[in-house]
Amino acid sequence: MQIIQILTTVSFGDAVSNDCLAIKKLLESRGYNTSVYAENLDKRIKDPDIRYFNKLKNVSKDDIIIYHLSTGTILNRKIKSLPGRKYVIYHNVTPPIFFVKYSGKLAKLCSKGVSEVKDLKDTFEGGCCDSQYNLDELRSYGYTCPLSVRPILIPFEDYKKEPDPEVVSRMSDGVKNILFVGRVAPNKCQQDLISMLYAYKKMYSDPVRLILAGNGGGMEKYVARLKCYADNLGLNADVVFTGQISFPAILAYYSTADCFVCMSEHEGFCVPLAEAMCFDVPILAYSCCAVPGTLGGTGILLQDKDPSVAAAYLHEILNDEALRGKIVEEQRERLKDFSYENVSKLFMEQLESFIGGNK
Amino acid sequence: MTAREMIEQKASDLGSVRGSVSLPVDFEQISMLAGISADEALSGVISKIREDHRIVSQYRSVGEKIGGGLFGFYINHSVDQQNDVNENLATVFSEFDELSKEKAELLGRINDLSVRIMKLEKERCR
Repeated sequence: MQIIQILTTVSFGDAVSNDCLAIKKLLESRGYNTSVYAENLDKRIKDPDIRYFNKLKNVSKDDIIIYHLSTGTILNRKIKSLPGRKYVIYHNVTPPIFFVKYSGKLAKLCSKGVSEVKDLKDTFEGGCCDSQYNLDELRSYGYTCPLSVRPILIPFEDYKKEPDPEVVSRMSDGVKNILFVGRVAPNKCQQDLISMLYAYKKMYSDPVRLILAGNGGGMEKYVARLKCYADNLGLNADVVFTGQISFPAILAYYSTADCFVCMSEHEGFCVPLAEAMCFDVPILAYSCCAVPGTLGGTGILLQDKDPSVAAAYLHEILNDEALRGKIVEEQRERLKDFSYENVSKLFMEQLESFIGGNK
Repeated sequence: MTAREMIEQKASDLGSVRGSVSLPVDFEQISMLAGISADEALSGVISKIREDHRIVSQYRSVGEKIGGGLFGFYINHSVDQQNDVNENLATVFSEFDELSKEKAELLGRINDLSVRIMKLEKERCR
């Protein structure tokens, strides 16, 4: 028996790829015969057990196929016809409505993705989801197979690397850094962060800046609109759009952040929340989708997006030392749930119960 | 006491600021055209056209390779590339079309506003 992971893209840095690569390493360490097949591969990948999907052959009915479901792709159709026992890992598909104004192509892809997820409801014998939110979504699509919740495997060891000293020095000028990390995309609602910053500047005098760390590739219209919005609010100098940055630079922004604020309206898990926890950055987040589940009772949740209220909460977090300390302390506890040891143990339990003890 | 309970105690004070700052600009009202003036959207589309085609090496069995050689693998490859170019062009044209519509709508609004200003000025003169 072999365990085959199939996904759209294997690259470095994205959450789904990280999850897949961590699972591969884990399965190998447990003595399983395992390999990965993807439609697109990063050219830097040299592992002979990670191959293009069209090289996949000799799959037997006893093999286990772990399928990472996260977007609209031709694989969603091909997976149906493969023999073997199929296990889904659902990372969620962003609803197309967010992209309609900005990218017809992306909206179409997501729309296709959602309908393909629905079509696959009877394909899998079992699976797991990054969050309860994702699991509920699959159930609402009519999935009846046994499903469980298992957080994404995050390589926290990588976060111990040296942050970019130039960014650290630039961000350590006495101005408080409000950080959000994530693709610049309409579902992440970066405009609400800019609104909050505007309200903060009107209400309080302490110097703050907003750092939007993330790539806006493919979302140029949205990025342009955000810049125009910041410009119209007179916040040009106070909002930093980093664009695509190196991993050490991301580490530098986390290590100099005073608060992580998330106003996102669609997240299947939200890895940056766990990353902020890892860097002891207190979190303020809009209560929506998988965010409350990932925070697990820690951080501070906003029930609505009123910019003045959000600014007032942010001011408390930035200036009340006791509150900050408590948030960070609770986040450290929560982070243990996402540790490699805990998540890998949970994954192996779930997978082995699916496999039934065969190797 | 948890952090959320700590902040809950101040919730009424924090909540009392609701709506105290009004935003002078509504994000939803910012035109896509205004966004373009920030020189991002168009450059994004253009860079997409200019992007070098990433050719993903495909696995082919010996039979397929021989068949491909005999029956025009290179022709198929060229056709695939042409399809990609066409797809990119189609995206550009649809974006262009969308922006033209928006431009026309905005020009219409500017005209309406000009007429209203003229009327107001006339009334003021009277």
